[in-house]
Formats: sequence, C-alpha cells, structure tokens
Amino acid sequence: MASSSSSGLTFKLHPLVIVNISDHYTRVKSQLNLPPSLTSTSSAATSNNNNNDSNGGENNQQPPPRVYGCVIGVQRGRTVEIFNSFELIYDPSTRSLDRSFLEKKQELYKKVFPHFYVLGWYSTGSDAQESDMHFHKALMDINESPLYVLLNPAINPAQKDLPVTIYES
Amino acid sequence: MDSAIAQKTWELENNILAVEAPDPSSDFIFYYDEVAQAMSLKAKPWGNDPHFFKRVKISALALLKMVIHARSGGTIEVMGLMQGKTGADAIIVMDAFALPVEGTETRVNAQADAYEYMVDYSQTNKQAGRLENVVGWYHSHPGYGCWLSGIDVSTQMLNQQFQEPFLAVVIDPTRTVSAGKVDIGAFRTYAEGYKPTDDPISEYQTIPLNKIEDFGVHCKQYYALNITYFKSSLDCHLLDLLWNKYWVNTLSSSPLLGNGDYVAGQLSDLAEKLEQAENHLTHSRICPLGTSRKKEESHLGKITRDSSKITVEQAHGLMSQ
Repeated sequence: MASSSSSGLTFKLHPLVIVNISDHYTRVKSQLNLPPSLTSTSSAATSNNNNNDSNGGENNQQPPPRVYGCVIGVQRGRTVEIFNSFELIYDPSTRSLDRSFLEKKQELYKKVFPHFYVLGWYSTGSDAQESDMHFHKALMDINESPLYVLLNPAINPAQKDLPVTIYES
Repeated sequence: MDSAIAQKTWELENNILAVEAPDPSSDFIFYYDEVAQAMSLKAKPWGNDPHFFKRVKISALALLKMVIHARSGGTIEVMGLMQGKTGADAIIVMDAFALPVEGTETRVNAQADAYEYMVDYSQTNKQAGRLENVVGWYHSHPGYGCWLSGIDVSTQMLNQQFQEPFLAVVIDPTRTVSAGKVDIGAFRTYAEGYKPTDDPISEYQTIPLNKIEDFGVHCKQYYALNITYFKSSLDCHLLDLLWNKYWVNTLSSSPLLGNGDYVAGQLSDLAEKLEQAENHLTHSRICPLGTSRKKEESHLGKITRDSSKITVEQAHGLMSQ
C-alpha cells in the first residue's frame, strides 16, 4: 500500500512483487560473480574452468547488471493493484525487447491468473534514466499508460522506507 | 525501537533462526552450478538410500508464492511445481509456480494435463535466467492438515521412480491463517515394500474424521523432512523495511474474521469425535478392563488436545483485537 499520486490514482503494491524483483536481481548477480568458495573447490574437481574467470580466491566484481521485467495486476477505477511480476529479456545495448518471449509469458500467466493483465514494467537501479524511455515506449502498445516500478537494490542500513518508486506516464 | 522488539518476539514465536548474518557473500546459494548439478544427477546417490534426503531449504520467494497460491484457492485444493536443486542431503527449493489445473483428490493424472504448461514455463524461465530444474510439486489441503493422502502417495511414488530427485510439499492455508504460523510439510515416499527401521515420532496434528482413515492407512509409506527457510541479503533488507512499515498491521490483524467457517467445521468435527469416543468406551466396558493401551494416546486424550488447540487459537484471536 503506497501513497497516492498526483494523477489521483492509488497504488497497491503486493510484497510478492518486491520479493520477485529482489530474487531476480540476486540470481543474475550471483550467476555473474562466482562465489569465492566455489572457485577453490571447483578447481579441485573435474575441469570446468571454462566459466570461471579467475582461479583461487579472487573474485572479479562486475557492477551488477540491471534486470528488467513486467508487472501484472488489476486496475479497478482509480486503484491500481500490482500483484505479480515476471522477468523479460531485454538487451540494453541494442534496445531490443524480446516480443515473443513476452507474449509467451503473458499467455502462461493468463492461464493461472486469468484476471491479471500487464500494468507496466520494472527495473533495478538508483533512479530513472533516459534510456528507460525506450522500454517504456515499447510497452505502450500493450498498455497505453504503463507504470514503471524501480527498485533500488543497494542495501542502506540507514534507510527507513522501502527503496521502491513507481513512475507513471 | 518498538518495531525491533515486536520483530524479535514474532521471530521467536515462529521459530525463525538467523542462520548466518546476511551479507552479500552468503547469497551463494542463489548461484546455480550447472556442472555440479549435472554430475550429481548422474551419480544419483539417492538411488540406494531411501532416506537420503533429510532436509529441505525453501527460499522466501518460493514460500511466499506457494502460500499465496494456496490461500487464493480458498477451499479448493490447488497445486503447482517447485524449481530448485540438490545440495548434500538437502533439496533446495528456489522458486515455485502454480499450475492451471484444478486439483481434486480423485485425479491422479492432474500432472499429465499440466505437462505442456510446465514445459513451456520451464523453457521460458531458462531463457530469462532461472536455470534450475523442477524438483518437486506442492499442493494444498485447505483445513485438513499436512500429510499425503492415498492418491498423493501413489503420485509421489510414481514421481520418485521417474523424475528423481522429487519432493512433495503440502500446505494448509486455513490452518496457517488461524494459527498465525505457516502449516507446511515436506515428504518423500518410501519405495514399495520398504519398511522404515525406526518409527519416527511425527508432530501430532488434528485430522478431521472423514480423512482420518486415509491418513492412517498411508502414514507409514512416507517420511517427513525437516524444513528450513532462507532469504538473500537483499530480501532481508527489504523484508525488514516492510516489517517496519506494517508490523502494527500484522500483529493486530485478527485471524478470527476470515476463518469463521473453518472454526465451525473444527467444532463439529470435535463433537463427532467425542461421540465416537463415547461409543468406544461403552463397548470396551464389556471387554476386560485390563486392556488399556499405554503407548497410544487414548481417544479422549487426543480430543482434549484438539479442543485445547481450538480454544488457544480463539483466545489468541480475541486477545489481539
């Protein structure tokens, strides 16, 4: 349950969405940065060094990538309820959104949750960027005014409020 | 701070143990080591030992999804699949998803119908970066406890033959809400004809009269696994923040309102059991009185336990109002 916006819409964000985005982000981050315990044990096991960048205790910390996905839910009058989300394949360098994947996922989720429809998209990062507009525009043919849910994955112990912002167009 | 104290109390009540301090290096559980998993699938260490898997680790995400899905089904049984991997003697469940089938106790082939859905979903997930395989299935028993029914046992035995490693999880959303604690159980069946060497004492739970026969016949054919939960460092952080905002809501929400029907059902079931116990006593008065079973709890003992559980839950609900 979040605060109301200037356009008069009230947004309700389900905690499942937050955990979903957090899980997606953590997964992608762990697959990229090989944990240090695994680099030392895997070199002792059979050769599988093709996907290990380093050997021994060193761990190259790449900056965590941004993850993208879709949020689904219902809109009843002025209240928008975001219930669930799923991942999307998006290439920021070519700015191409995998359409068939999106449609496939939509179909699957429709079978299990027939009442939900696409409300917008999500991403991780500290604040909205210009490049996000491309993604936003791409979604506009599914929903004329999509929402943009941004989650800041940086863990800040001094924070009192949830690091989630919702932008609307 | 108030919320910190409230959080500590709630954690104590729900037996949440912070196993490791949440820091980014502890997120390694999220890493999917494809090669190690493939090796372990080839080796199949669970083939020889029916008791190989002893523990289950469920991620916060999987638990949340399963409980929400089970609860959304209301009184209808719902089912879904779980994705994850194996690790030593534990099955690790990373994610779960719902299946678009209506699960009734009489349908053994519910999974055959959902096969197409499952294949599609797994394929799209792999593309999106969720590399784990399906490691089990879950379904709900709304209001009648976490155990495997006859159909469940045969389904699971079939699964364990062809889709190893596989796990069966049962959730009771109604009891979860009324007790305030997630009612969940993880099981694996024994192979046909295997007799467990020791009789593990399982936690006592109330089974409604109409299901008790089904429970009794099959309860020796499977064993329960120990469940622990885990969450990532980011999850920890986010859940802490969510708690800060809504702890007042959590503690003050009354479990009584949503569960009126369930409580009524419990009481009528208790009444039936009392009647049954009475009949049993009148019969046994004819037989010699020396045959009192010391090992098993008498019927009356069980009934008193059930009734005290109901009253405790009601008292809790009333107190929090």
